[in-house]
Amino acid sequence: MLIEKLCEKKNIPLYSIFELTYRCNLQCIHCYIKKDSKKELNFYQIKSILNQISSMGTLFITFTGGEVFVRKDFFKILNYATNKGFAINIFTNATLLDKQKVYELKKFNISEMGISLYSLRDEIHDYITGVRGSLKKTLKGIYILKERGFNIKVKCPLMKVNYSDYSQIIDFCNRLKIKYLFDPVIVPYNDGDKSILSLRLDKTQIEKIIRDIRIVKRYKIKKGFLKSNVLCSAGKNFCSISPYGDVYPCIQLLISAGNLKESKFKKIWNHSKVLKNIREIKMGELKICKNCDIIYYCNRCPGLAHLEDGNLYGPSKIACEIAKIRKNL
Amino acid sequence: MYQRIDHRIRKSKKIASRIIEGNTYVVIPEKRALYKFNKVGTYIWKCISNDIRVKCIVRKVCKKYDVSEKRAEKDVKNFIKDLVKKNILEYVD
Repeated sequence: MLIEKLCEKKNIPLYSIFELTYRCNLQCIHCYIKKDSKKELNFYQIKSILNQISSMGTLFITFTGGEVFVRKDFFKILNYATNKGFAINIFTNATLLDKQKVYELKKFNISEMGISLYSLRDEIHDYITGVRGSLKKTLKGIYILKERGFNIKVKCPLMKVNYSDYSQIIDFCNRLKIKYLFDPVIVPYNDGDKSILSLRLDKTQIEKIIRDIRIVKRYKIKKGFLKSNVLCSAGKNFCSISPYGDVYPCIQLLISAGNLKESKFKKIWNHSKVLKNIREIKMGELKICKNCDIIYYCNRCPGLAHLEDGNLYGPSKIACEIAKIRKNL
Repeated sequence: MYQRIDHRIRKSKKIASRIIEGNTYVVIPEKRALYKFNKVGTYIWKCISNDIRVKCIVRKVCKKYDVSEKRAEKDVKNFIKDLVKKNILEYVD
C-alpha cells in the first residue's frame, strides 16, 4: 500500500494503537500486563490525544486493553473517534458484549473486531482466561457480532496448553467465514519478567504450526529483507499510546518517547530522542544479526529483542528459532 | 439517480478520511476499502464541509483552476457521481 510507504518515509503516524486501560475482566495466564494502580487517562485527555494524533495523520486506530469494554466511557470514545474520521479496530475478549451493545457499535466506523479465542473447549479456554464461563460469553459475542455483519478476526496466541486446539478453531472460523490469526510468540511481561515464556510452544510444535498451509501465509519469506535499512515501522508510520499517556514507538517496543500528560503529541513525535534514535537504526548496527546466515528467513522484532534481553540491537531468541525452522522448510 | 446541478451533497458518516501530504485518503471501514484523491479531488473534498450544492463546487473549481464552467461541471459531476456510487458521498435531497 503506497500510503504506508509514504508515511514510513515521512514519519507520519498513520497507525496508532491506543491502550485505553490495563484493567480486564479476565486473568489470562499469558497476559504481558503487570497490574498496577497508576491513574488512567480520562475521557477529556483521550479526546485531546485523538485530536492531536488526527492532526498528525493517524487514520487507522486500534483500541485495545486490558479489556476496552470495562471502560464505562468506551462508547463515548468510539463516538468521538468516529466523528474525528478514524477507521477503528477494536481488540476485545467479547465477553462483555450483548445485543444492545453490538447494536450501538454499528453506529461507529469500525473496520474490524479482533477477538481473543484460545480454544473451543471450556476447560482449556477458561483455564487460560482464569474465569469459568468465559468461552461461552466470548462465543456469544462472536455470534452476535457476526449476525450484525462486523468484520471479525479471531486472535489466538498458541501455547503448550492450547496447541492441540488450533485446527478446531480454524474449522470454526471457516464455518463462520471469519478471519483468524495464530501467534506462536508469547512475549515477556511488559516489565521484562520472562517467567511466562515457559508457556511458549516447543520447537517441534512451532515447526508444525509454520508448516501448516492454513496458517503459513504469515511466515512466507519476505524477499529483500537484507537490502533494506528499515528495521520495522515502529516510530515511523506506527505508534502506541498507553493508558497512562506514554508514547511508545510500538506496542511491543516499550521505550517511552514521552508522556502526553506532560507534552503534546507533536512535540514528542517530532523531537523525542528515543524516536529519533529508533528511526535511524541501520542494519549494520545489528552486530550479531547482520552477519547471521539465516537473516533472510528472519522476521526479527526489535521490541521483542529489547524485552527478551534488554538489547534493541541484539537478536530475538524466538525470531532466531522461527528463522531456523523456516530455513529448513 | 440522475444528478442535478442544484443537488445538495454531503460526506457519508460511515467513512474515515485524512489529508496526508496534500492528497486525501478515504477509508470505508466496513468494506476495508481505501481510496486516494489527487490534488483537485482533495480541493473538492475540502469544499464539502457541510451540505453543499454541486453548482457551488463547480463555481469554486472554475475559480481555483481557471477552467471553463462546462469543463468544471462535467468533471465535478463525474467525480461526485463516482463517490456517491461508492457510498463516500450522499445526496441530501
